[in-house]
Amino acid sequence: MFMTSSSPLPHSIGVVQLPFLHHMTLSVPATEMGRTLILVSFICVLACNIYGDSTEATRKLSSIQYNPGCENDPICKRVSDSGSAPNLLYAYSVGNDTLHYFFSTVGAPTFLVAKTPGKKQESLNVSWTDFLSVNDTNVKNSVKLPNVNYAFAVVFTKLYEYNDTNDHADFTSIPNDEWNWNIRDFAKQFVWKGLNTTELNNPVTVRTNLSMTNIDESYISFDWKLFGNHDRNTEVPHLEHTINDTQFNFLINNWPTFCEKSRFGLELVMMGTDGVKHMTNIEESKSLDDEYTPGVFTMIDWSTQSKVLASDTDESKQLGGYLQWKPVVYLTEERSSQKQTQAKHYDTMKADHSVIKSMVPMRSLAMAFFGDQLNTMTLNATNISFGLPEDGFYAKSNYTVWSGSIGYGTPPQDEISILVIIVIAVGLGIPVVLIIFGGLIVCIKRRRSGKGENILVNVAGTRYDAIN
Amino acid sequence: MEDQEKKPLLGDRDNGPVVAVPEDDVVLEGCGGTLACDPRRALHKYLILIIMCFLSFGSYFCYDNPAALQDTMLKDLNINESIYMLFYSLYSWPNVILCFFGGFLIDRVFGIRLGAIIFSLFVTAGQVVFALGAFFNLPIVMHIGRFIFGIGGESLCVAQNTYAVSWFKDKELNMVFGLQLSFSRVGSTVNMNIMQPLYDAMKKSFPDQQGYVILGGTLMIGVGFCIASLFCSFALAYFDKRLERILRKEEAKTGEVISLRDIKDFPASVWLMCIICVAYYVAVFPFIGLGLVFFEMKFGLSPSAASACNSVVYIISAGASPLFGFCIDKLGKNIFWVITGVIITLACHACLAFTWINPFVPMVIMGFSYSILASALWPIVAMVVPEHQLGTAYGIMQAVQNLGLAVISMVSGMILDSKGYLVLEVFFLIWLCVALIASVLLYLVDAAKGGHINLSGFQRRKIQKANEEADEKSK
Repeated sequence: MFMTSSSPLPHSIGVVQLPFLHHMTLSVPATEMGRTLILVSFICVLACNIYGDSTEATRKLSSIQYNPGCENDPICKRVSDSGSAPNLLYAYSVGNDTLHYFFSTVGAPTFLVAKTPGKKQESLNVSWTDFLSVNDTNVKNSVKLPNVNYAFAVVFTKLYEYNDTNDHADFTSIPNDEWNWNIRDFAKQFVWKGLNTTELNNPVTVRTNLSMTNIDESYISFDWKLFGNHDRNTEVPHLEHTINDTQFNFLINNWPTFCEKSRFGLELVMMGTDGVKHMTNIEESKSLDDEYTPGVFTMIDWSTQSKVLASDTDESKQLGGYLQWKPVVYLTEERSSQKQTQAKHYDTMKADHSVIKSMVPMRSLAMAFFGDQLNTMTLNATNISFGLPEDGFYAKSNYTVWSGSIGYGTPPQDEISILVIIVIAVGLGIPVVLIIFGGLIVCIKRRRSGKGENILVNVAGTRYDAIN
Repeated sequence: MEDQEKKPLLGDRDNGPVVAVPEDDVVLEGCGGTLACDPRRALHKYLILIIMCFLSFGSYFCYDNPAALQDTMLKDLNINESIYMLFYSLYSWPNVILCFFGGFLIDRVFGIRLGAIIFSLFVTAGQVVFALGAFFNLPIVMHIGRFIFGIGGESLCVAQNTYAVSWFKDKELNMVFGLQLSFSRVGSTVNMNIMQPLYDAMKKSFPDQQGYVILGGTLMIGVGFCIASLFCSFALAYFDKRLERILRKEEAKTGEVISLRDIKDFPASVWLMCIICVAYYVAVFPFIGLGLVFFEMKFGLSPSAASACNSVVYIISAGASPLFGFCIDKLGKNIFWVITGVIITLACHACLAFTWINPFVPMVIMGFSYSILASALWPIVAMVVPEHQLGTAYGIMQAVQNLGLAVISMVSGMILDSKGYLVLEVFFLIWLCVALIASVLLYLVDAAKGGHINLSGFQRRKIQKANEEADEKSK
């Protein structure tokens, strides 16, 4: 029954469709057909490019390991004096070379990316007793990975809370006294929850609850998502991810504030083994197009190498790490352009290398991984604050989530999508053509009727009389 | 005759607005055959115009009460955003249909005088219920209040338009429409600026009261404005009746009665105007509703500058519409002005979408173009539709506009959240192109029929004069 009825179906479609297509092509004038062809081929070329991009390369992503090498060691089961569980998340992604991704909340939360050549899976060696030690010198070089030819890290060093009495949403205007600031040291003042194996998803979430009240809804958390392909995050701000980067969400949820007009901010330190002691600046790029992140027209790249440097030679182009974000934080779980405020960044620090180095907490994955190598590394620090004047401060939404990409290589740049180009071309092209042709017809008609105005008056006059 | 017509008109342009406001009450108390009270004199008409403008002041004032007190309402009534938004949707969605019937009822059943009074009563009653709901912390009652308010609100505007045509047809209609528009803007601006301070002041004088009680009390201020508007509707009914008696003007409604079937015989130009109306207004108002973030994030304006930029269209239209209306009265060529308004707005939107020019520039210009369009477009209806069908025609136009605004506001929000402001701006540009095409078509349709709508002011006055002479002869 089904077999017999289904067989004529494709046939009938073919019969119906062919004359229709035939008719279509006939009705399009030659010149217009040419133009359409050009447009179609243009779109094809564009589409192929994009398609090519996305299949250019992929990496094979490993699953996320939790506290590698410490599964059976009682030291990792034990919570520290503060009540914090040790958290070290590790994954690697294999392509022509291998990228190793780390995220740790042992001490200051740190994202770390390391590159080793070839597909060979280098073995990670964590000396857990030293890594979790309170002795600073022990911590250094307690996390070892052989053959690393590039590594860089972003450390979340401090959480600022400031009393924005004048509602400027700019903490450079806040007087530097203890009444207006509540500065928490990420390395010391937070109690991170441990993970069990069922929580090791991608993205993986690590959170710190408010220790004193233990209200479950009050927490600060990091979501960390790893990628093996080149695409765009499905959630706004829809940051693009390459095969070389990971993305995070930093969420401050229902966190009690020390005053009504509190706003939050972060201090971040970035370091890379670029071999130069230079300090990079944060680069902003503006675009008319906000299709990926509604209501946000700026992209911010903070790289260990400046774009100019990176484009100098092909080889150096592949070096360097970046933190990329859009200057936006969302204020509700359901992210929307009407429920957003600003993630404002400040100038990178203008200070000596040694000063910035001293900002890297001893207890952090960065210190454990780089140790004294930090003395010769590219280093810089910056601040970010969340909020815009008149947005009602943190307390209005009690929810602030900030997203960014951390990766290796050159940060991806947004380009206008074909869809938007088509929408603009068709949506505005058709009316413009109609109006031009309409205008021409009217002009021709008027010229033919000759006297124009005078005729109109006479006709109008008589017509009016006729109505009366 | 020509001289008599012109003299008071010119004279009153100087005296009218200055004298008018304080004399408002005097007019209400009645008078004899003085300059201000003789319906044949222009001064009288201008005093009536002021009452007419105040007719819908209450409704415009109260319409935006929720917006002016948004944060307070959310807090005091302990409601979430969607419950709050219902205050607006319960007004706008029913009005997609209601104001069409309102217009029809004015033409067919009530007549303009009774119609205006009834709709004013609805507005007042609705606001009373709304305020009481807040007073007793009953959001459901408040929603019912908004619905009752909505039954009257838009239909009252239809009544106001119809009044304007019946008093000012052919001479100052553009200016009158411009002035009404500007009054509606003043109404909502006053509301936006005084409600929160009033609430704060009341909170200070009654510190022991619950927030919602204070809120109810504050909303009662709105009731005061509604009652003032209700008085205006009574006054207008009285003066309209008086005009009819003194001038022995035959009531336009007698004899001919509109039926719903007549709507299909409305001239094509009415439908074209509906298209222009929808396509143009949806490119302005939903954009303003979503503009704040755009100005802050794309152009880096501070929030206060962004909200100033966002409201600049309203402020300019409040000032400029009567002036443009006056000029269009003198110059005529309404369709030409409509086309101009659409093209300028199109350029402004293109500017906002594709350039980094300071947004104050396009927004200010858009304010002017909106004023031009609004004061040129609405009077055209009176040129193509006979007077006994005017209520219905305005009702249809308003209904279509409400439908367009309600739907497109939703669609705009969805476009914005999925594809961003650039695509949203392109969406608005497409609507403006539709408006442009419709207005060019309106010109062509009119030209084919003899160019009656697009006469210049000079031609129109000439015809009018000939018309009056003919009338005199026949008497």
